[in-house]
Amino acid sequence: MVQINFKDVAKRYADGTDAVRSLNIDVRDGEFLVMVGPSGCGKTTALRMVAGLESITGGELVAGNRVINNLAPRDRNFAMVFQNYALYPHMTIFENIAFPLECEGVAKAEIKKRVEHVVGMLDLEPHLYRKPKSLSGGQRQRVAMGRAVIRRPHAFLMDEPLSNLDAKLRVQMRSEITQLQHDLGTTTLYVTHDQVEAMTMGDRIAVMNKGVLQQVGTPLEIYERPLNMFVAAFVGSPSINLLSARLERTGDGVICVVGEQRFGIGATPELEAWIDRGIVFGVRPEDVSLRSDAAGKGATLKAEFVLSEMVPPEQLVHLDLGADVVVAATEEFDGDGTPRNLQNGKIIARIPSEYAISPGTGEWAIRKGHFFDPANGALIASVRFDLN
Amino acid sequence: MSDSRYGPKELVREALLICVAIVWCAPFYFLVMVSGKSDTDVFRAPLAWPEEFMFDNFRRAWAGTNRVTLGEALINSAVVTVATVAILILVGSITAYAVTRARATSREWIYIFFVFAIITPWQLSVVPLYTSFRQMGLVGNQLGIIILFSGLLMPLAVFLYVGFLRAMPMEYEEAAEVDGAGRWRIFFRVVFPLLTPVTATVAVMTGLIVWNDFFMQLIFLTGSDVQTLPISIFGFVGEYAARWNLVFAAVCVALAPIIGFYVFAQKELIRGFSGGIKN
Amino acid sequence: MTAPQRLDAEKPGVAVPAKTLRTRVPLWWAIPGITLAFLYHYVATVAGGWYAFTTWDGLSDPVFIGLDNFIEIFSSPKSYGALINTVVLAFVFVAGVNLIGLALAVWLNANLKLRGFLRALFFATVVMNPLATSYIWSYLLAATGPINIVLGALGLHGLQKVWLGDPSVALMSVCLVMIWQYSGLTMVLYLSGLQTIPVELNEAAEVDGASAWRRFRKISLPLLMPAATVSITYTTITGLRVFDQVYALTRGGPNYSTETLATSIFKETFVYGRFGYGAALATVLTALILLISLVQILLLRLSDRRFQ
Repeated sequence: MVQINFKDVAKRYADGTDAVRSLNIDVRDGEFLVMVGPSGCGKTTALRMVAGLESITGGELVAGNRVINNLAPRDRNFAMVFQNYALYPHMTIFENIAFPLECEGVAKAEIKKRVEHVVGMLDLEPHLYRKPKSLSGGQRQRVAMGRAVIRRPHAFLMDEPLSNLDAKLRVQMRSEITQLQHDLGTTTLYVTHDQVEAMTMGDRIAVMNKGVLQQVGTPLEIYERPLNMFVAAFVGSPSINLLSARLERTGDGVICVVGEQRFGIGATPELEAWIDRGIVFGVRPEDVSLRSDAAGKGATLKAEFVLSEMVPPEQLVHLDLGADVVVAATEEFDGDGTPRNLQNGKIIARIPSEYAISPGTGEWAIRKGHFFDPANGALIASVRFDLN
Repeated sequence: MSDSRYGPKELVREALLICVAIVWCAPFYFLVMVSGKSDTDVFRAPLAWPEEFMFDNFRRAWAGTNRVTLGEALINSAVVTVATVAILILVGSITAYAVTRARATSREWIYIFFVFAIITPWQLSVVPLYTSFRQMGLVGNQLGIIILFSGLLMPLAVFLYVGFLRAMPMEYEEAAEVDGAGRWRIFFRVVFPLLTPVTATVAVMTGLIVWNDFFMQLIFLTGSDVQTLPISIFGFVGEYAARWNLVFAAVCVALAPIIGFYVFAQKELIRGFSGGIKN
Repeated sequence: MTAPQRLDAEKPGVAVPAKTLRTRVPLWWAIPGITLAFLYHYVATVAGGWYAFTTWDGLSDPVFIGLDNFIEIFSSPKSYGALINTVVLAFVFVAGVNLIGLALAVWLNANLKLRGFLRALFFATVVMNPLATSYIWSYLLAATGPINIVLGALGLHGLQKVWLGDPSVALMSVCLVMIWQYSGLTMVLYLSGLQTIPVELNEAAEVDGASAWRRFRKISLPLLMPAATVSITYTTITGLRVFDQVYALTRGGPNYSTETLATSIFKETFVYGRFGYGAALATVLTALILLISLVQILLLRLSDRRFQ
């Protein structure tokens, strides 16, 4: 086991494009760290640099206090699980799993013992002497895991290992992999574009976009306190509602103006500097609820009911705040991170499916909101309204 | 590996391969060099470029032998090749179409029939073919060669077409049928244009075989006034045996068309040739 | 509107349409092609096989003589020698052309700046007229030719040979020319084989700790077996029936040291007018080639099964 430190690690291709810019992450010993981001964000490149399959053009990659920038892949003692598993098609399952040991020159009897152990762990005994082609997707996935586990490597590197499985199997393998990692305690770097996978599997999550690290933190940190609009929009489904707003002072309090509507926010020192300036107000759909449900606490917005999508036990309620409410600038949100509800004045609320909503304009309570700098997307403050 | 790196390892490889390539192509240096030398120059400085390049050698080579110029031989070869390829494409594609769209059992049998026909070498059938062609007056003329190769290469053409047609979805034909097209119209307006990639493979493979063949043409054309390129070169070498400058000028002329063609269509030629063999 | 498609049970992945259009393409469309193939390859081959048991000058009626022709082939040093030469030539040629083609392919299968150019260069000889290229080589290999001159200049007088005139080296010289001519072809076959191997396999092996040599031996080489089978079979058949290069370089000489079945067939039949004997030689060649082809089909089946 080992810790892996990215120190200003960068990758610039010969044609001048930057795949990864000055990446700084410390993956702790035994940690399960998930790198997540839209396609092309540099997460796979970063992983391949750790594996040694991609040269590093800047900074230092340290594993166990040793700079490994120029170490050949086979000398790093990492195991990698590929997106398409990269099982050797001409070898049996046994041979596939035994291959890393064979490369190390481990004795035949020892290989057999260790393969049998791993195969038992992964429920693959009946298929030991079959070729990968005759296995199902989930079984192939397990073989790939077996090949990674067998060598007791310093770290596991996994590149979207579940993306080729169907939804049901994916959920199952998700917990199997987490369980396995827990049991072995091996440092794991896991790459995915799926935020649910990231949230459910990672001890910590590193969100990346366009080669730049956006935030590292536990799933809860990332969700509760997204450091910028990109992270806020990337994490959570449906995506966070982002509205252009304005802060004003009334008497001794601060109010937030959204279109024609205004609601008070408690004393928040970080927001003082933004009074009388434009700001982006972000509300997660799950933080919007029916007024009656919030028992008089928090901020209120009037909105017209548009339609409801039933996804029991929840429903997604589309609301219209009026055409004069502008949604935040969108330059920062291409790729998979683009919030989908960007029409003027349209927001989404996520509430239990048993509530019937009457047509027309109603009052909606907002439990919690995030304020962002419209210029660079950085988080200014997260505010809970229902505590006031 | 997939990394787009170009490091010292690649540089060494490239340099080594270039060295190999230079040795590989050395024969062509000698070909051009000797073809431009005068009779005395050939033996005086065997490795050096001629002091004065003798274009006259090419004029004399062009004149050919036996009343047939190299120009006429080129035309004969071109006529024979083009006509044979055209017949193979037309008959081969129709045959393959009928075979692949036939009922499953007959389809399998006919397929095996063509595969075996490809495997049997020509050397055994050449004797009866020669004697019957001689009886029919098809020895010593272009028509004979065209008919000969059309038959010999038909299994190959059909085989290549069948391989392609098997993988081709039928929706196009069915759409055309629904649109009211008749069988022949479906074939010529819909199916045949879709066959273009494999038609290119058929043309490249069979065309090269006919253009370069020496064995069959030696048997079927020797002693006649109709000479194709290989036969003409063979005769020329027989007549000017030790005069390498003239022989090489003739070889240059013989290789020029195919090299020119190759320069323009090398990707297609490589793909067509290797694709044809792989099937 | 389109008819429902179902998957043919025997051949997964091949769509076989329901009974609509296929019953409407009349099989007689195939008759011209089938007839030609039947006449040229079945009737003519069987007729040729029949002549192998006769003595015949090509003009009068053939006379049945049983196995006499075959007995002569295996008892006359000339014909038996041709058979041996054919096998030796094919073997050396196949080994050389496949090893060199494989080496070129492996070396070219990298991120090289001149990759496409070099590939085209090595392949160029494949499309050239073998007769014409052989004449170039007969100059290069001549007793006073450039190869001996270069060897002399390098002080390697011991290596100087009368390449095409010395019975002990003439056959190998022919092999050399053929290997030069066809290595580009095997290179292309191996290259396209290499390209079907997913990059991830080599990467996975690299991460798994395999050295470059082990990756080649354990990953690339086994996965190249289908390409190798095709390449080896094609070049074996080419080697067994080679005529053009031999005829242009040596015409079977000196002292029959480069005589092959193909040149013997030509000489016996069309020079000496022994049509029956030539047909018998052709029968032997055909049997050899059919045997190789059958082995290939079996091997291909096996290599398909490797992945099941």
